[in-house]
Amino acid sequence: MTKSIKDMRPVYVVGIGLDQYQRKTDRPYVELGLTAIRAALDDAKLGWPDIESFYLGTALLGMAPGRAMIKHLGTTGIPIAQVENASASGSTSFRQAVIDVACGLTDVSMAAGVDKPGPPLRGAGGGPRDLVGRGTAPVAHFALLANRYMAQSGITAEHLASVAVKNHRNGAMNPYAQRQKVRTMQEVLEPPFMAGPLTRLQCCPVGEGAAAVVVVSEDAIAKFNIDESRLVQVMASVSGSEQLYPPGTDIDSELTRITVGKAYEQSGIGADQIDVVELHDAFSIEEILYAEAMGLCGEGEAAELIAAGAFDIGGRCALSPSGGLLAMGHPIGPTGTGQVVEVTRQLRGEAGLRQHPNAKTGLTHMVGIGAVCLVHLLQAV
Amino acid sequence: MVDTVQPFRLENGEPVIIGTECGACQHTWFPAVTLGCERCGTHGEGLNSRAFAMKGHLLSAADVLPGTEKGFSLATIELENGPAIRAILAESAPLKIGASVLGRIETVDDKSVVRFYVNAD
Repeated sequence: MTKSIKDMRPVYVVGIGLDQYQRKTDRPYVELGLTAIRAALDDAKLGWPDIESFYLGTALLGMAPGRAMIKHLGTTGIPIAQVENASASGSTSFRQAVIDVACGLTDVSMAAGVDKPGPPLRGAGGGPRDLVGRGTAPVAHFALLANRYMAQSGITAEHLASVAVKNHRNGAMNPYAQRQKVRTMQEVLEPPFMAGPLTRLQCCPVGEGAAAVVVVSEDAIAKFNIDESRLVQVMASVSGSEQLYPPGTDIDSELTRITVGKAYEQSGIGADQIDVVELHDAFSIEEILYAEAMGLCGEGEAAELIAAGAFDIGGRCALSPSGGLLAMGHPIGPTGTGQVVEVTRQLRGEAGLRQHPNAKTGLTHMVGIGAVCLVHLLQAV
Repeated sequence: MVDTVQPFRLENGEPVIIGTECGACQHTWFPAVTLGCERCGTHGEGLNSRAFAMKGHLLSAADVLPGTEKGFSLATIELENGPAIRAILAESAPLKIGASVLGRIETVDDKSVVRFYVNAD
């Protein structure tokens, strides 16, 4: 008989750290990663020798970049692994660390993510010829979804842009965000159009950054006398991949609906209990699609609700309080781990200007090239 | 096997794209890949080359990089007797979900390409 996270040992987030997401700089990735890792260790009041396993989410750095980074913390011989799962790489590294602690393989584990933009790493090649080639870039894919949603629901370009207005406003309050500027509706709607209705400010920036999270067992909390007032428990961890859906189905939304549904079932937490959500808003249309797929509102309602402020910080549920991928940025490897950092900060009540009032329960969500989906539910203890 | 040859041709004077059909579950897909059926896992001789007429209807369309030299119009099209595909639209047409479209094989810059047109009918 299989088990889920809730059937195993409780797992808690006790340390979080970031290196600011930003345009590519001359700083080596090792420095970015170490900054985030040391911040997470300081936050947990633990040392590197206390970490018993380490997972690094990265998609752009090639083979085995973790070893070159963590050796500067003092080698300890712990198991390490790189995790590549497209945009969900950091979420998957977090899940692996959670599994280690939940299973009892470790009492203290770390998940991190780091990336820097560079020349694209090519796969084995030899793929089949289609009719499009260049046309299947992510922005083109989501432009197709956006135009279809707009035609079916009747929402306007302003509705769509209101996602970016909100997330840029949130990002302006986040010192770790790549974009920290409040944008007006007019600015968001200004060309250039990247594809369909998606303007530049409705598309996420892909820069560099790093994030790290420490997770522990109850034994570790006792052993290291960790401050219990700041504990955040992992209530669900679900990973899924695509299935065959009927023609015309939005794969990303359907995969999200199924994966989030499993997280609700695993935890006993319902959509109406979620206070903060960090989701995969790489393009503005995604926040609308996923809010509905998560059951945060009814089908066809999300755009109106976002425009009306229901999903602002201080609204009924804060969507992308960090600024999301649209404003905080999407450095790929760190992004999912960074979502856990933001939700943890919110649930501790330590988010400063962008604090969502009385945040007790949060959800993180990443998709990876439409083929994988990672969801975690976190709750203040 | 992965088919890297041109994925379209004229068949009895009609333009078709070449995909694959699973002999076990009749699932169809494009482009042609005979490494295994996504639905049931059948592989090898259980998978057959299959021509699909370039007729279908629009599920969505979007102009990519509009107003630039690299700009083009992209569509998701559900074929009448085949899978949903991504293809290039010949013109930047207003989106009308369900509009019927027809594909043609044309020569652009000395290369054969497929472009779909919204069917005036």
